Amino acid sequence: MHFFWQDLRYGVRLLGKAPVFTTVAVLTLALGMGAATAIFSVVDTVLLKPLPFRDAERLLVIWEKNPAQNRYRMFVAPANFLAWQKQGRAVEQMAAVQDVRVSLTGGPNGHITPEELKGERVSASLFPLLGVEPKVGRTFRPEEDQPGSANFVLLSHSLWQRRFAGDPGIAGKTIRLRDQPYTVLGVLPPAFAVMEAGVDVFIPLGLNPSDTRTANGRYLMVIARRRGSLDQVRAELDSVGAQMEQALPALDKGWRPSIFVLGDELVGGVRQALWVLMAAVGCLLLMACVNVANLLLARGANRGKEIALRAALGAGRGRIVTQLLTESVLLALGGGGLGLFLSAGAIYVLAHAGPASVPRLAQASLDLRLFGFALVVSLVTGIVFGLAPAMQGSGTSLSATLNEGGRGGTAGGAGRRLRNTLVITELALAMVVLIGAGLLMRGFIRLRSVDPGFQPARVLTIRVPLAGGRNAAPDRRIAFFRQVADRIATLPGVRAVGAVNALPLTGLGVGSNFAVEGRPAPGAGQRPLALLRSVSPAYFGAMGIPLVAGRALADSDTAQAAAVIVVNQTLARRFWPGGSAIGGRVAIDQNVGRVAEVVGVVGDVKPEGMDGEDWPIIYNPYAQVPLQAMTLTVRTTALPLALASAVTREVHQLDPNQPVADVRTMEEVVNLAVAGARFNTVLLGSFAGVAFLLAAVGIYGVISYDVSQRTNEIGIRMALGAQPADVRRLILGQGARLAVYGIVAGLLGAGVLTRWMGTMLFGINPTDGWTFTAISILLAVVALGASFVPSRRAMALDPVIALRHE
Amino acid sequence: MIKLRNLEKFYEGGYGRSYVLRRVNVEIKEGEFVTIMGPSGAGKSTLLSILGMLDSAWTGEFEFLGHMVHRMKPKERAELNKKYTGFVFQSYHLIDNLTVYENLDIPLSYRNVKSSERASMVCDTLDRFHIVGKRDLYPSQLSGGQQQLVAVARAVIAHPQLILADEPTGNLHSSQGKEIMELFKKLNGEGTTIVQVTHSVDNATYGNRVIQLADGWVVSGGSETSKSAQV
Repeated sequence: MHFFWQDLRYGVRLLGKAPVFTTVAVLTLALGMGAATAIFSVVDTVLLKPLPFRDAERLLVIWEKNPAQNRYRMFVAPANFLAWQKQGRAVEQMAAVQDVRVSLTGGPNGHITPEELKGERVSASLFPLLGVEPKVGRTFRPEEDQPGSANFVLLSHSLWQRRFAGDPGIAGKTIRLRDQPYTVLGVLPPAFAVMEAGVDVFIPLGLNPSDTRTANGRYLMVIARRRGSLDQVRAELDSVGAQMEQALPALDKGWRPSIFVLGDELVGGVRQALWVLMAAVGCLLLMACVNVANLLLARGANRGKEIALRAALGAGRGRIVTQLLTESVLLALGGGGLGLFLSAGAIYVLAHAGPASVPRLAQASLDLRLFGFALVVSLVTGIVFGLAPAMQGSGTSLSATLNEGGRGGTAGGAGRRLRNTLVITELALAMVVLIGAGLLMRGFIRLRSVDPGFQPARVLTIRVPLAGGRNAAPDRRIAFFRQVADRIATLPGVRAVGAVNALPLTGLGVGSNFAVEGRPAPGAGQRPLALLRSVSPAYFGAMGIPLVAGRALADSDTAQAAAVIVVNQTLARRFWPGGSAIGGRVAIDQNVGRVAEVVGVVGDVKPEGMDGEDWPIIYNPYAQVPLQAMTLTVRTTALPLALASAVTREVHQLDPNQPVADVRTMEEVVNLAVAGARFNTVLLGSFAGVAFLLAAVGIYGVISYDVSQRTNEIGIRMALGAQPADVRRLILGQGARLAVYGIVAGLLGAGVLTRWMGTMLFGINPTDGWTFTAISILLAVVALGASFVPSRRAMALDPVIALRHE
Repeated sequence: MIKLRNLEKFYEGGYGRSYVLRRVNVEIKEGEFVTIMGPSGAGKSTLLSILGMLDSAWTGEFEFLGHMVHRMKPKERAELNKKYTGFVFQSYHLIDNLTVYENLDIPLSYRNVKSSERASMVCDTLDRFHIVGKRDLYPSQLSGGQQQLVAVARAVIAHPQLILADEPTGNLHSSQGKEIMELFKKLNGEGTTIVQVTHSVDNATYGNRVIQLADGWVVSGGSETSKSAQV
C-alpha cells in the first residue's frame, strides 16, 4: 500500500512536470471517449434497447401498398383494417391509429388558454396489444370505442404535467376538446409513443364500418401483434387482400397489405445513419488510443535510462511495471473523467437538439456501461503502450542502456516502425472519417441548393384550426379567414397574406383520385392520385410560387361561382403533355365528383422533403373547399417573427378563444425538412474536425519525436555535407511517406466503407472522386504542415551540438 | 591550405566572456598530417569543428584553399566543407538504420553525384577498404573497428583534400586503432591532408607535426616554422 501511494504521488508529479504531454494525452482520450460514449448511448437507446412494449419483437406495422403505382407505405382504408382484423388468424390483436389535431378549449375548472394539440384516434385494443398500463386511471374499454359512444380521452404524461399540473385526480374529470366535453379516463406513462412522438391526447377511433364516406378513404396506421410467424402473417393477410380486391374493386384494385416489424419500421430511416456515426466515433476512439499509444511510446523511449537506472538501483521488474502502470492508469482516468463530462454534455445536446425523425432520441441518457467500455479500451491502450517500453527497459542491462549512443548510434528502427505504423493507421482512420463527412457535406450542400419551388425568406406561418370553435361552421370559415387576412394585411411590414391547408415540406397531406374529363377512364386501381390543397387567392403571391400559365385564383372564385382549380406543372405536364392544361376539366373524388375547370398552372413545390419527388397537386379556392384548419402565410418586409405577436393578436381580435399553433417562419420549415441531413452532417463534420486534429497532432508528435531522436543523425548528415534544405527534405519526406501510406490505406478503407452511406447522400456518389481527391490533398497538406514545424527545428540544429547529442 | 589568423571563439556569460580559443594562429600546408593535442577542455575539438566549418561562431580570419572563410555566408561555407572535407569521429557516427552501402552513399548524395556514378564509387570504396562482404550489414552488426573502417571509407569516398579526424581510435582497442592509423598514413601518403585530434602520443607519431593547445591557446606547432614539437 505504501508503494502504491508512493507510485501515485510520483506519477502525479511526473505528469505535472510534462504538462504538454499530459494535456494532449488527457484531452485526446477525453475527446475519443466522450464522443464514443455519447454516440454509443444514442445508438443503444434508439436501435438496441427493446421498445417499451410487451414482447416488442412480435409487434408489426401494417400499411397498404400498390406496386403498380410504386407506393409501398400508404395509409390503410378502414374497410381493409376491419377485414384483416376479422379474418387474420396469425394475428393475435390488431389496432388502428389515426393522426388528428384537436383544440383544447376547456379544462376541468372551466376556462383554459386554448391550444391545438397533437392527437391520435386509436382502437381500444391498442393499449392491451402493446401491454401498456396507464400511470393514472385506466385505458379505453371496447364499448367506449364505438361510433356514437360518449367522448373519452387519455392524456399524455407531458400534457398532464404541462396543462393540468400533474393533478392526481384528473381521471374522471371533464375537459373540452373541439368545444365538446371529454371525460379523462387516465394518463399514459411518460414518453409513451407508438408511431409518432409528442402526441398529447388519445381518443377512441370509434370506427363505423357502415359509413362509406369514411370507410373508403385511406387514413389509418395499423399496429398488430402476431401469433404466427411473420411469413404466415404476410401470406394470410395477402390472401385477405386478394379477397378484398374482389369484393371492393373500386377501393382495392391493385392494393395489398404491406407488413413490417414495428421496431424496424420506427428506426428504419435512421438505422444506417446511426451505424455510420457509430463507425465514425469508433474510428475516433481508435485514433485517440493510437495517439496516446504514440505519446506513451515516445515518452517510454525517452525514459529508457531512468528505468535502467532504477533497475540498477535494485527495483524489480514488478516495481517498475507498477510505477508505469500507475501513470498510465492516472492518464486514462484523467481522460475518462473529462470524457464523462463531455459525453454527458454531448448526449444532452443530442437529446434536445437532435431531429424529431430519430425515435426515442430524447430519452437518450449517459450509459455508464458504455462509458466503462470506452474507459477499459483506453486503459488497455495505456497499459499496453505504456508498459511496452517499460518491460523492454527493465529487461535490458544498465550498461547497455546507459551507454546507448556512446557508440554513435542513431535512433532505433523497431520503435520507429511501430510509431510509424500507428500514425499510418491514424491517418487512414482520419481519411475514412473525413471522406464520410466530406460526402455528407457535399450531399447537404446539394440538398440545400434544391429549389423548393417557393421563396421561403421573410414568410411567417401560423396555423389556425377552427375545429370546435365558434367559426368552425362551414359558412363562417370563409368569412373568418377573409377578415383575418384583411386585418393582417393592414399591419405595417406585411406585403401579402395567404392561407393554405398544408404547407410545402410538411407532408403529403390530403390526396384524392381524380379523372380528366374527355379522357378514357383508367381501370380501377389505375386512377391517378393528386395532392389536394385549399388556398386563398393571395397564397401563391405570399409564398412566391410562380404562375406559369393562365391565372391565379381570385376573390371572385366563390362558392357560388363556377368550380375552378389551379394545378401544378407536374400535373399539367403529365395529363396535357405538349398542350395547355388551361380550360381542362377535372373531376376530383374528394370534391364528391364535382368537375372543376383548370384556370391556371403554377410551379411545383416540394410537398414532403427537399429530396422528395414532385407530386401532382391540385389547388382549390378556399371559398369552394373551406377546410377547418388553415395555415396563414404572411410575407413581410422585415424579420417575420417580429410580426408574430401582432398577427396572433389580429386572430384573437376576431375570436379570443381561437387557438393558434406552429408560429414559425417558412425558413424554419425548410430547415426542419433538412434537419435529419443537417444532424448527420453536423455530427459527422464535428467528428471529422476532431479526427483532423488528432491526425495532425499524431503526425506532428511522431515527426517531432523522430527529429529529437535523430538529432545525432542530422548532425552527422550535416557534417557529411547536408545543407539545411537537405535536412528539410529528409524530415518532410518522412512526413510525406507516412501521409502517402496513410492516405492510400484510408482511400481503400473509405472506398469500401462509404458504400454503406448510399441512402444518406443526396445527389452524390458514395465514391465521389472529387471528395476523395480533395480530402486526400487536405490530409497531405496537414501531414506536411505538421511535419514542417519539426523540420524547421531540425534545420536550425547546430551540427556541433547535434553530433554530441545522445 | 589552411591559415588561421587571430581566430577566437568565446561565449558571453554574466561574468564576461569565456574563451574557448584565443588568438589562434595556425598554418597547415597541403599534404601535411597534423595532430592537435592538449588536455581536456583545451579547445581541440572546437578547433576541428571550425576547420570543418561546422562551427561558424568565431572571430578572426580563416583562409581555406585561398577562400576567405570569414567573409563567406553559412551556405558557402557548407559548400566548401562538402567539396573538400571528410570527417571521421571518435564514435563513428554511422547512421544505424542505413546499411554499410547506404552509409557510404550519403556524402555522394549530398554532392549531387549521379546515381550510376555513385554506385560505382561506393563499390570501388567497398573494394578498396575490403568491406565488400559487409555492404548489406547494418552498423549494429559490425565490430567497433569495422564501424570505424566504414566511417573512414565514408570520409574519403568523395575524394576530399582534407580529412578531419576527432579521436578516431578513442573507442577502439589497440590493434584496431593501429589499423586505422595505418590507413590514415596511407591516405596521407596518397596526398590527402589529415588533421587529427588525439590524446594518444602513439597516434601522434603517425603525423608530421603536433599542434599543442592549452586553455584555448596554441602553445606550440602553430606553423611549420614556429616552435613545434616535432615527433
